[in-house]
Amino acid sequence: MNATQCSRAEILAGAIALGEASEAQRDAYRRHVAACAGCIAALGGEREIERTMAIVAVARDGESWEPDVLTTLRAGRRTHVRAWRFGAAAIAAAAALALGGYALLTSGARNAPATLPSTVAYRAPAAPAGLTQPKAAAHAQARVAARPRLVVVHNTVTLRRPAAAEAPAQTPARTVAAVRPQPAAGRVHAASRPAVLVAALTPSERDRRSIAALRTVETAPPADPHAESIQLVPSSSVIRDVFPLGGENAIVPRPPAIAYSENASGTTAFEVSVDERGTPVKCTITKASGYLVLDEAVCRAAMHARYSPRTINGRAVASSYSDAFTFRLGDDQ
Amino acid sequence: MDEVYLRTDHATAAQARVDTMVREYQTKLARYIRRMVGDAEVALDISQDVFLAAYRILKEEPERELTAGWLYRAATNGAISFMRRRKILRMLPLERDVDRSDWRIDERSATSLDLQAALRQLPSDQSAAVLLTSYAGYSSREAAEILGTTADAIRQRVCRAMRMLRTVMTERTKDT
Repeated sequence: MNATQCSRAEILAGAIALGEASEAQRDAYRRHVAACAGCIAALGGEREIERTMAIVAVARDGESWEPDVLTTLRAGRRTHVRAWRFGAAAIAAAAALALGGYALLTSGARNAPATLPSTVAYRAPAAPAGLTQPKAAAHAQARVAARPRLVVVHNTVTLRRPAAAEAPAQTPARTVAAVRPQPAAGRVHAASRPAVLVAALTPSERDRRSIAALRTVETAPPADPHAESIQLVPSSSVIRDVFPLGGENAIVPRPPAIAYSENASGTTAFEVSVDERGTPVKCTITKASGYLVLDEAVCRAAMHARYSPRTINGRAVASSYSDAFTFRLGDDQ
Repeated sequence: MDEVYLRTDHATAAQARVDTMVREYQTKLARYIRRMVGDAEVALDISQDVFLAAYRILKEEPERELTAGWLYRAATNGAISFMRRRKILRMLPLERDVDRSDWRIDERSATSLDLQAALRQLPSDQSAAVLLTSYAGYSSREAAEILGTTADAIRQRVCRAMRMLRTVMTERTKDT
Protein backbone atom coordinates (compact mmCIF):
# COMPACT_ATOMS: atom_id res chain seq x y z
CA MET A 1 0.00 0.00 0.00
CA ASN A 2 1.39 3.37 -0.83
CA ALA A 3 1.41 6.33 1.47
CA THR A 4 -1.17 8.32 -0.49
CA GLN A 5 -3.75 5.60 -0.16
CA CYS A 6 -3.07 5.24 3.55
CA SER A 7 -3.40 8.93 4.19
CA ARG A 8 -6.63 8.87 2.19
CA ALA A 9 -7.74 6.08 4.51
CA GLU A 10 -7.01 8.27 7.50
CA ILE A 11 -9.37 10.90 6.17
CA LEU A 12 -12.02 8.25 5.58
CA ALA A 13 -11.48 6.92 9.09
CA GLY A 14 -11.89 10.45 10.40
CA ALA A 15 -15.15 10.79 8.52
CA ILE A 16 -16.34 7.50 9.99
CA ALA A 17 -15.23 8.65 13.43
CA LEU A 18 -17.34 11.78 13.07
CA GLY A 19 -20.31 9.92 11.63
CA GLU A 20 -20.00 11.90 8.41
CA ALA A 21 -18.98 9.11 6.06
CA SER A 22 -21.23 8.22 3.15
CA GLU A 23 -21.88 4.61 2.24
CA ALA A 24 -19.40 4.94 -0.62
CA GLN A 25 -16.75 6.26 1.73
CA ARG A 26 -17.36 3.46 4.20
CA ASP A 27 -17.01 1.03 1.32
CA ALA A 28 -13.76 2.62 0.25
CA TYR A 29 -12.45 2.37 3.80
CA ARG A 30 -13.46 -1.29 4.08
CA ARG A 31 -11.72 -2.05 0.81
CA HIS A 32 -8.57 -0.30 1.92
CA VAL A 33 -8.27 -1.97 5.30
CA ALA A 34 -9.04 -5.35 3.81
CA ALA A 35 -5.85 -5.03 1.81
CA CYS A 36 -3.72 -2.94 4.18
CA ALA A 37 -2.54 -4.70 7.30
CA GLY A 38 -0.88 -1.58 8.65
CA CYS A 39 -4.06 0.48 8.60
CA ILE A 40 -6.32 -2.16 10.08
CA ALA A 41 -3.85 -2.58 12.93
CA ALA A 42 -3.45 1.12 13.54
CA LEU A 43 -6.97 2.38 12.94
CA GLY A 44 -9.20 -0.63 13.45
CA GLY A 45 -12.41 -1.52 11.68
CA GLU A 46 -15.40 0.74 11.28
CA ARG A 47 -17.15 -0.45 14.43
CA GLU A 48 -13.96 -0.15 16.41
CA ILE A 49 -13.53 3.44 15.31
CA GLU A 50 -17.08 4.26 16.33
CA ARG A 51 -16.64 2.56 19.68
CA THR A 52 -13.43 4.42 20.39
CA MET A 53 -14.94 7.76 19.47
CA ALA A 54 -18.01 7.11 21.58
CA ILE A 55 -15.96 7.66 24.71
CA VAL A 56 -15.52 11.33 23.84
CA ALA A 57 -19.24 11.90 24.14
CA VAL A 58 -19.45 9.71 27.23
CA ALA A 59 -16.67 11.67 28.90
CA ARG A 60 -18.30 14.94 27.93
CA ASP A 61 -21.70 13.95 29.25
CA GLY A 62 -20.14 12.89 32.51
CA GLU A 63 -18.72 16.31 33.18
CA SER A 64 -20.24 18.39 35.92
CA TRP A 65 -17.90 21.34 36.32
CA GLU A 66 -19.86 24.59 36.16
CA PRO A 67 -17.43 27.48 35.92
CA ASP A 68 -18.66 30.90 36.89
CA VAL A 69 -16.93 33.29 34.56
CA LEU A 70 -19.40 36.09 35.03
CA THR A 71 -18.89 36.51 38.75
CA THR A 72 -15.13 36.52 38.47
CA LEU A 73 -15.30 38.95 35.57
CA ARG A 74 -17.57 41.26 37.49
CA ALA A 75 -15.69 41.08 40.72
CA GLY A 76 -12.50 41.96 38.93
CA ARG A 77 -10.98 38.93 40.54
CA ARG A 78 -8.68 36.62 38.71
CA THR A 79 -7.53 33.20 39.57
CA HIS A 80 -3.90 34.35 39.26
CA VAL A 81 -2.89 30.93 38.11
CA ARG A 82 -0.85 32.02 35.19
CA ALA A 83 0.89 34.82 37.00
CA TRP A 84 1.73 32.48 39.78
CA ARG A 85 2.90 29.66 37.60
CA PHE A 86 5.15 31.70 35.41
CA GLY A 87 6.08 34.42 37.81
CA ALA A 88 5.26 36.84 35.05
CA ALA A 89 4.32 40.07 36.69
CA ALA A 90 3.62 41.46 33.27
CA ILE A 91 0.73 39.11 32.78
CA ALA A 92 -0.80 40.11 36.09
CA ALA A 93 -0.32 43.76 35.29
CA ALA A 94 -1.90 43.33 31.89
CA ALA A 95 -4.79 41.52 33.49
CA ALA A 96 -5.27 44.25 36.05
CA LEU A 97 -5.19 46.79 33.27
CA ALA A 98 -7.67 44.89 31.17
CA LEU A 99 -10.04 44.35 34.03
CA GLY A 100 -9.63 47.85 35.22
CA GLY A 101 -10.60 48.87 31.72
CA TYR A 102 -13.59 46.63 31.75
CA ALA A 103 -14.68 48.03 35.06
CA LEU A 104 -13.97 51.63 34.33
CA LEU A 105 -15.21 52.04 30.82
CA THR A 106 -18.60 50.86 31.82
CA SER A 107 -18.85 53.65 34.30
CA GLY A 108 -17.80 56.14 31.70
CA ALA A 109 -14.58 57.30 33.28
CA ARG A 110 -11.70 57.07 30.87
CA ASN A 111 -8.64 58.59 32.45
CA ALA A 112 -8.16 56.54 35.55
CA PRO A 113 -4.90 55.11 36.85
CA ALA A 114 -4.09 51.67 35.54
CA THR A 115 -3.63 50.04 38.90
CA LEU A 116 -7.01 49.87 40.46
CA PRO A 117 -8.14 48.22 43.60
CA SER A 118 -10.45 45.43 42.54
CA THR A 119 -13.25 47.00 44.53
CA VAL A 120 -13.80 49.50 41.73
CA ALA A 121 -15.42 46.77 39.67
CA TYR A 122 -18.46 48.19 38.03
CA ARG A 123 -20.98 46.30 40.01
CA ALA A 124 -20.29 45.03 43.47
CA PRO A 125 -20.84 41.31 43.20
CA ALA A 126 -23.61 39.96 45.34
CA ALA A 127 -21.19 37.43 46.68
CA PRO A 128 -21.96 35.65 49.91
CA ALA A 129 -20.06 37.04 52.84
CA GLY A 130 -17.80 34.06 53.22
CA LEU A 131 -16.44 34.14 49.70
CA THR A 132 -13.55 36.49 50.13
CA GLN A 133 -10.33 36.21 48.29
CA PRO A 134 -8.18 34.87 51.14
CA LYS A 135 -10.64 32.08 51.55
CA ALA A 136 -10.53 31.27 47.87
CA ALA A 137 -6.75 31.28 48.03
CA ALA A 138 -6.79 29.01 51.03
CA HIS A 139 -9.14 26.74 49.20
CA ALA A 140 -6.80 26.57 46.23
CA GLN A 141 -3.89 25.85 48.55
CA ALA A 142 -5.75 23.10 50.29
CA ARG A 143 -6.58 21.67 46.92
CA VAL A 144 -2.95 21.44 45.99
CA ALA A 145 -1.74 20.23 49.35
CA ALA A 146 -4.37 17.67 50.15
CA ARG A 147 -5.73 15.06 47.87
CA PRO A 148 -8.65 13.85 49.92
CA ARG A 149 -9.77 10.32 49.70
CA LEU A 150 -13.26 9.11 50.08
CA VAL A 151 -13.90 6.00 52.07
CA VAL A 152 -17.30 4.44 52.17
CA VAL A 153 -17.91 1.80 54.80
CA HIS A 154 -21.48 0.70 54.61
CA ASN A 155 -23.34 3.88 55.10
CA THR A 156 -20.59 5.87 56.66
CA VAL A 157 -18.66 8.01 54.26
CA THR A 158 -15.34 9.17 55.60
CA LEU A 159 -13.73 12.11 53.97
CA ARG A 160 -10.04 11.51 54.27
CA ARG A 161 -7.23 13.89 53.66
CA PRO A 162 -3.52 13.09 53.79
CA ALA A 163 -2.01 13.63 57.22
CA ALA A 164 0.89 15.57 55.73
CA ALA A 165 -1.40 18.34 54.60
CA GLU A 166 -1.16 21.67 56.32
CA ALA A 167 -3.58 21.72 59.16
CA PRO A 168 -6.35 24.18 58.43
CA ALA A 169 -6.82 27.05 60.81
CA GLN A 170 -9.92 25.61 62.28
CA THR A 171 -9.50 22.04 63.41
CA PRO A 172 -12.04 19.78 61.80
CA ALA A 173 -14.76 18.75 64.12
CA ARG A 174 -14.20 15.06 64.38
CA THR A 175 -17.67 13.71 64.76
CA VAL A 176 -18.27 10.15 65.72
CA ALA A 177 -20.25 8.53 63.02
CA ALA A 178 -23.84 8.06 63.87
CA VAL A 179 -25.15 5.76 61.23
CA ARG A 180 -28.84 5.93 61.00
CA PRO A 181 -30.03 3.50 58.41
CA GLN A 182 -33.72 3.77 57.93
CA PRO A 183 -35.29 0.43 57.21
CA ALA A 184 -37.42 0.66 54.14
CA ALA A 185 -39.49 -2.39 54.89
CA GLY A 186 -43.09 -2.16 53.85
CA ARG A 187 -43.81 1.45 54.52
CA VAL A 188 -46.28 3.60 52.73
CA HIS A 189 -45.05 7.08 53.25
CA ALA A 190 -47.48 9.83 53.94
CA ALA A 191 -47.38 12.43 51.27
CA SER A 192 -47.64 15.14 53.86
CA ARG A 193 -44.19 14.54 55.24
CA PRO A 194 -42.29 17.83 55.29
CA ALA A 195 -39.08 17.58 53.42
CA VAL A 196 -36.33 19.45 51.71
CA LEU A 197 -36.60 18.72 48.05
CA VAL A 198 -33.35 18.84 46.22
CA ALA A 199 -35.15 19.71 43.10
CA ALA A 200 -33.31 19.81 39.84
CA LEU A 201 -29.80 19.25 41.22
CA THR A 202 -28.60 22.21 39.26
CA PRO A 203 -24.85 22.16 39.62
CA SER A 204 -24.34 25.71 38.48
CA GLU A 205 -24.02 27.35 41.86
CA ARG A 206 -22.50 24.34 43.45
CA ASP A 207 -18.83 24.67 43.21
CA ARG A 208 -17.63 28.09 44.15
CA ARG A 209 -20.17 29.08 46.69
CA SER A 210 -19.04 29.67 50.17
CA ILE A 211 -20.02 27.26 52.82
CA ALA A 212 -21.92 29.99 54.59
CA ALA A 213 -24.34 29.94 51.73
CA LEU A 214 -24.37 26.18 51.61
CA ARG A 215 -25.31 25.72 55.21
CA THR A 216 -28.93 24.85 55.30
CA VAL A 217 -31.14 25.35 58.25
CA GLU A 218 -32.63 22.49 60.15
CA THR A 219 -35.71 21.96 58.08
CA ALA A 220 -37.09 18.51 58.58
CA PRO A 221 -39.02 18.02 61.79
CA PRO A 222 -39.56 14.36 62.59
CA ALA A 223 -42.41 12.85 60.68
CA ASP A 224 -45.49 11.79 62.51
CA PRO A 225 -45.03 8.07 63.09
CA HIS A 226 -48.75 7.37 63.02
CA ALA A 227 -49.17 8.92 59.65
CA GLU A 228 -47.38 6.15 57.83
CA SER A 229 -48.86 2.97 59.22
CA ILE A 230 -51.47 2.65 56.54
CA GLN A 231 -51.05 -0.69 54.82
CA LEU A 232 -53.32 -1.09 51.88
CA VAL A 233 -52.24 -4.60 51.00
CA PRO A 234 -53.96 -7.74 52.26
CA SER A 235 -51.76 -9.57 54.72
CA SER A 236 -51.63 -12.76 52.68
CA SER A 237 -49.81 -11.25 49.70
CA VAL A 238 -46.13 -11.86 49.05
CA ILE A 239 -44.28 -8.59 49.12
CA ARG A 240 -40.74 -8.07 48.01
CA ASP A 241 -39.56 -4.64 48.85
CA VAL A 242 -37.76 -2.18 46.65
CA PHE A 243 -34.01 -2.49 46.80
CA PRO A 244 -31.10 -1.01 44.89
CA LEU A 245 -29.57 -3.40 42.39
CA GLY A 246 -26.13 -4.31 43.66
CA GLY A 247 -27.16 -4.03 47.28
CA GLU A 248 -26.94 -1.20 49.75
CA ASN A 249 -23.44 -0.32 48.63
CA ALA A 250 -24.62 0.37 45.10
CA ILE A 251 -25.39 3.93 46.13
CA VAL A 252 -22.09 5.73 46.53
CA PRO A 253 -22.35 9.45 47.12
CA ARG A 254 -19.42 11.41 45.75
CA PRO A 255 -19.39 14.88 47.22
CA PRO A 256 -17.55 17.55 45.24
CA ALA A 257 -14.10 18.66 46.27
CA ILE A 258 -15.39 21.68 48.14
CA ALA A 259 -16.93 19.37 50.72
CA TYR A 260 -13.47 18.20 51.71
CA SER A 261 -11.93 21.60 51.98
CA GLU A 262 -14.85 22.85 54.01
CA ASN A 263 -14.76 19.88 56.35
CA ALA A 264 -18.38 19.10 55.69
CA SER A 265 -19.84 16.38 57.85
CA GLY A 266 -23.24 15.22 58.93
CA THR A 267 -25.97 12.71 58.30
CA THR A 268 -28.22 12.86 55.30
CA ALA A 269 -31.35 10.79 55.11
CA PHE A 270 -33.06 10.50 51.79
CA GLU A 271 -36.05 8.93 50.19
CA VAL A 272 -36.17 7.99 46.58
CA SER A 273 -39.39 7.34 44.69
CA VAL A 274 -38.99 4.33 42.44
CA ASP A 275 -41.45 3.54 39.71
CA GLU A 276 -42.64 0.07 38.82
CA ARG A 277 -39.77 -0.42 36.39
CA GLY A 278 -37.15 0.26 39.03
CA THR A 279 -36.23 3.67 37.74
CA PRO A 280 -35.71 6.36 40.36
CA VAL A 281 -38.14 9.20 39.80
CA LYS A 282 -37.61 11.69 42.56
CA CYS A 283 -35.20 12.08 45.42
CA THR A 284 -36.14 13.82 48.61
CA ILE A 285 -33.91 14.69 51.53
CA THR A 286 -35.76 13.74 54.69
CA LYS A 287 -32.99 14.85 57.00
CA ALA A 288 -30.52 17.43 55.80
CA SER A 289 -26.90 17.12 56.87
CA GLY A 290 -26.58 20.88 57.00
CA TYR A 291 -24.44 20.92 53.87
CA LEU A 292 -26.13 21.20 50.53
CA VAL A 293 -23.16 19.61 48.75
CA LEU A 294 -23.48 16.44 50.79
CA ASP A 295 -27.26 16.27 50.35
CA GLU A 296 -26.92 16.79 46.63
CA ALA A 297 -24.22 14.15 46.35
CA VAL A 298 -26.46 11.65 48.11
CA CYS A 299 -29.43 12.44 45.93
CA ARG A 300 -27.35 12.32 42.80
CA ALA A 301 -26.03 8.90 43.75
CA ALA A 302 -29.50 7.69 44.64
CA MET A 303 -30.87 8.86 41.31
CA HIS A 304 -28.04 7.15 39.45
CA ALA A 305 -28.67 3.75 40.98
CA ARG A 306 -31.08 1.21 39.55
CA TYR A 307 -33.57 -0.52 41.76
CA SER A 308 -35.49 -3.72 41.78
CA PRO A 309 -39.04 -2.50 42.24
CA ARG A 310 -41.30 -3.42 45.10
CA THR A 311 -43.46 -6.35 44.08
CA ILE A 312 -46.79 -7.49 45.47
CA ASN A 313 -47.54 -11.05 44.46
CA GLY A 314 -45.01 -10.67 41.71
CA ARG A 315 -46.55 -7.52 40.33
CA ALA A 316 -44.24 -4.53 40.39
CA VAL A 317 -45.54 -1.34 41.90
CA ALA A 318 -44.15 2.10 42.45
CA SER A 319 -42.73 2.67 45.89
CA SER A 320 -40.02 4.52 47.67
CA TYR A 321 -36.67 3.56 49.14
CA SER A 322 -35.07 5.37 52.00
CA ASP A 323 -31.70 5.17 53.61
CA ALA A 324 -29.18 7.43 55.29
CA PHE A 325 -25.53 8.29 54.92
CA THR A 326 -23.22 9.73 57.50
CA PHE A 327 -20.30 11.79 56.30
CA ARG A 328 -17.46 12.31 58.68
CA LEU A 329 -13.99 13.73 58.53
CA GLY A 330 -10.99 11.54 58.81
CA ASP A 331 -7.25 11.59 58.32
CA ASP A 332 -5.17 9.03 56.55
CA GLN A 333 -3.92 6.29 58.86
CA MET B 1 -19.69 65.57 24.99
CA ASP B 2 -21.86 63.54 22.63
CA GLU B 3 -18.87 61.46 21.85
CA VAL B 4 -18.53 60.50 25.50
CA TYR B 5 -22.21 59.58 25.82
CA LEU B 6 -22.02 57.51 22.69
CA ARG B 7 -19.03 55.66 24.04
CA THR B 8 -20.78 55.02 27.32
CA ASP B 9 -23.76 53.73 25.39
CA HIS B 10 -21.59 51.40 23.38
CA ALA B 11 -19.91 50.17 26.51
CA THR B 12 -23.24 49.43 28.19
CA ALA B 13 -24.57 47.64 25.12
CA ALA B 14 -21.36 45.65 24.76
CA GLN B 15 -21.49 44.71 28.40
CA ALA B 16 -25.05 43.45 28.07
CA ARG B 17 -24.16 41.39 25.02
CA VAL B 18 -21.10 39.92 26.67
CA ASP B 19 -23.16 39.08 29.74
CA THR B 20 -25.57 37.15 27.55
CA MET B 21 -22.74 35.40 25.77
CA VAL B 22 -21.11 34.47 29.05
CA ARG B 23 -24.31 33.02 30.41
CA GLU B 24 -24.89 30.99 27.31
CA TYR B 25 -21.40 29.74 26.58
CA GLN B 26 -19.29 29.89 29.71
CA THR B 27 -19.79 26.25 30.66
CA LYS B 28 -19.28 24.83 27.19
CA LEU B 29 -16.33 27.04 26.46
CA ALA B 30 -14.54 26.59 29.77
CA ARG B 31 -15.01 22.83 29.63
CA TYR B 32 -13.63 22.80 26.11
CA ILE B 33 -10.58 24.78 27.22
CA ARG B 34 -10.15 22.57 30.24
CA ARG B 35 -9.94 19.58 27.93
CA MET B 36 -7.42 21.44 25.79
CA VAL B 37 -5.09 22.53 28.60
CA GLY B 38 -5.99 19.91 31.19
CA ASP B 39 -6.23 22.43 34.00
CA ALA B 40 -9.44 23.85 35.38
CA GLU B 41 -8.09 27.12 36.72
CA VAL B 42 -6.13 27.92 33.60
CA ALA B 43 -9.31 27.15 31.66
CA LEU B 44 -11.23 29.64 33.75
CA ASP B 45 -8.51 32.20 33.15
CA ILE B 46 -8.51 31.71 29.40
CA SER B 47 -12.30 31.86 29.19
CA GLN B 48 -12.19 35.16 31.01
CA ASP B 49 -9.68 36.44 28.48
CA VAL B 50 -11.95 35.34 25.64
CA PHE B 51 -14.96 37.16 27.01
CA LEU B 52 -12.89 40.23 27.79
CA ALA B 53 -11.65 40.26 24.21
CA ALA B 54 -15.24 39.93 23.02
CA TYR B 55 -16.19 42.88 25.19
CA ARG B 56 -13.40 45.01 23.79
CA ILE B 57 -14.36 44.20 20.22
CA LEU B 58 -18.06 44.88 20.77
CA LYS B 59 -17.29 48.16 22.45
CA GLU B 60 -15.35 49.39 19.45
CA GLU B 61 -17.53 47.82 16.77
CA PRO B 62 -21.10 47.55 18.05
CA GLU B 63 -22.36 46.21 14.70
CA ARG B 64 -20.07 43.22 14.72
CA GLU B 65 -21.63 39.80 15.12
CA LEU B 66 -19.66 37.50 17.38
CA THR B 67 -20.71 33.93 16.88
CA ALA B 68 -20.05 30.85 18.97
CA GLY B 69 -17.49 29.96 16.33
CA TRP B 70 -15.61 33.14 17.13
CA LEU B 71 -15.58 32.26 20.81
CA TYR B 72 -14.26 28.81 20.06
CA ARG B 73 -11.60 30.20 17.78
CA ALA B 74 -10.44 32.67 20.41
CA ALA B 75 -10.52 29.94 23.04
CA THR B 76 -8.50 27.60 20.84
CA ASN B 77 -5.90 30.26 20.19
CA GLY B 78 -5.71 31.07 23.87
CA ALA B 79 -5.29 27.42 24.78
CA ILE B 80 -2.68 26.79 22.10
CA SER B 81 -0.59 29.78 23.07
CA PHE B 82 -0.81 28.72 26.69
CA MET B 83 0.39 25.24 25.79
CA ARG B 84 3.21 26.70 23.75
CA ARG B 85 4.35 28.93 26.60
CA ARG B 86 4.18 26.06 29.00
CA LYS B 87 6.35 23.99 26.73
CA ILE B 88 8.97 26.69 26.36
CA LEU B 89 9.15 27.58 29.99
CA ARG B 90 8.97 24.00 31.21
CA MET B 91 7.88 25.25 34.57
CA LEU B 92 5.51 22.37 34.86
CA PRO B 93 6.72 18.84 34.59
CA LEU B 94 5.23 17.30 31.48
CA GLU B 95 4.29 14.08 33.14
CA ARG B 96 2.11 11.68 31.29
CA ASP B 97 -0.39 11.14 34.03
CA VAL B 98 -3.44 13.33 34.19
CA ASP B 99 -3.58 15.55 37.24
CA ARG B 100 -6.69 14.19 38.84
CA SER B 101 -7.20 17.20 41.09
CA ASP B 102 -8.39 19.17 38.07
CA TRP B 103 -11.37 16.91 37.75
CA ARG B 104 -14.22 16.84 40.14
CA ILE B 105 -14.57 13.54 41.92
CA ASP B 106 -17.59 12.54 39.90
CA GLU B 107 -15.70 13.32 36.69
CA ARG B 108 -12.83 10.94 37.35
CA SER B 109 -14.25 8.05 35.41
CA ALA B 110 -11.90 5.86 33.42
CA THR B 111 -13.44 7.22 30.24
CA SER B 112 -12.91 10.82 31.20
CA LEU B 113 -9.32 10.27 32.29
CA ASP B 114 -8.58 8.16 29.20
CA LEU B 115 -9.73 10.97 26.99
CA GLN B 116 -7.61 13.45 28.92
CA ALA B 117 -4.55 11.17 28.83
CA ALA B 118 -4.91 10.92 25.07
CA LEU B 119 -5.43 14.66 24.64
CA ARG B 120 -2.34 15.60 26.61
CA GLN B 121 -0.16 13.49 24.37
CA LEU B 122 -1.59 14.91 21.18
CA PRO B 123 -0.38 18.02 19.36
CA SER B 124 -2.79 20.88 20.07
CA ASP B 125 -4.14 21.07 16.52
CA GLN B 126 -5.28 17.47 16.76
CA SER B 127 -6.76 18.01 20.21
CA ALA B 128 -8.62 21.03 18.94
CA ALA B 129 -9.93 19.10 15.94
CA VAL B 130 -11.30 16.21 17.93
CA LEU B 131 -12.70 18.45 20.66
CA LEU B 132 -14.45 20.83 18.29
CA THR B 133 -16.12 17.98 16.46
CA SER B 134 -16.93 15.04 18.72
CA TYR B 135 -16.88 17.04 21.93
CA ALA B 136 -18.35 20.42 21.01
CA GLY B 137 -20.54 19.03 18.26
CA TYR B 138 -19.37 20.92 15.19
CA SER B 139 -19.16 19.22 11.83
CA SER B 140 -15.76 18.85 10.27
CA ARG B 141 -16.57 21.69 7.88
CA GLU B 142 -17.50 24.07 10.70
CA ALA B 143 -14.46 23.02 12.69
CA ALA B 144 -12.33 23.65 9.61
CA GLU B 145 -13.71 27.15 9.41
CA ILE B 146 -12.96 27.78 13.08
CA LEU B 147 -9.42 26.48 12.80
CA GLY B 148 -8.79 27.94 9.38
CA THR B 149 -8.12 24.71 7.54
CA THR B 150 -9.95 22.20 5.35
CA ALA B 151 -12.54 19.61 6.32
CA ASP B 152 -10.28 16.80 5.17
CA ALA B 153 -7.48 18.06 7.36
CA ILE B 154 -9.88 18.02 10.31
CA ARG B 155 -10.88 14.45 9.49
CA GLN B 156 -7.28 13.39 9.33
CA ARG B 157 -6.53 15.03 12.68
CA VAL B 158 -9.56 13.36 14.21
CA CYS B 159 -8.27 10.06 12.90
CA ARG B 160 -4.86 10.64 14.52
CA ALA B 161 -6.55 11.58 17.77
CA MET B 162 -8.68 8.46 17.56
CA ARG B 163 -5.52 6.37 17.17
CA MET B 164 -4.06 7.93 20.31
CA LEU B 165 -7.27 7.32 22.21
CA ARG B 166 -7.17 3.72 21.12
CA THR B 167 -3.56 3.34 22.26
CA VAL B 168 -4.33 4.86 25.64
CA MET B 169 -7.30 2.59 26.17
CA THR B 170 -5.39 -0.53 25.17
CA GLU B 171 -2.53 0.37 27.49
CA ARG B 172 -4.83 0.91 30.42
CA THR B 173 -6.59 -2.40 29.94
CA LYS B 174 -3.21 -4.07 29.65
CA ASP B 175 -2.03 -2.55 32.93
CA THR B 176 -4.94 -3.71 34.98
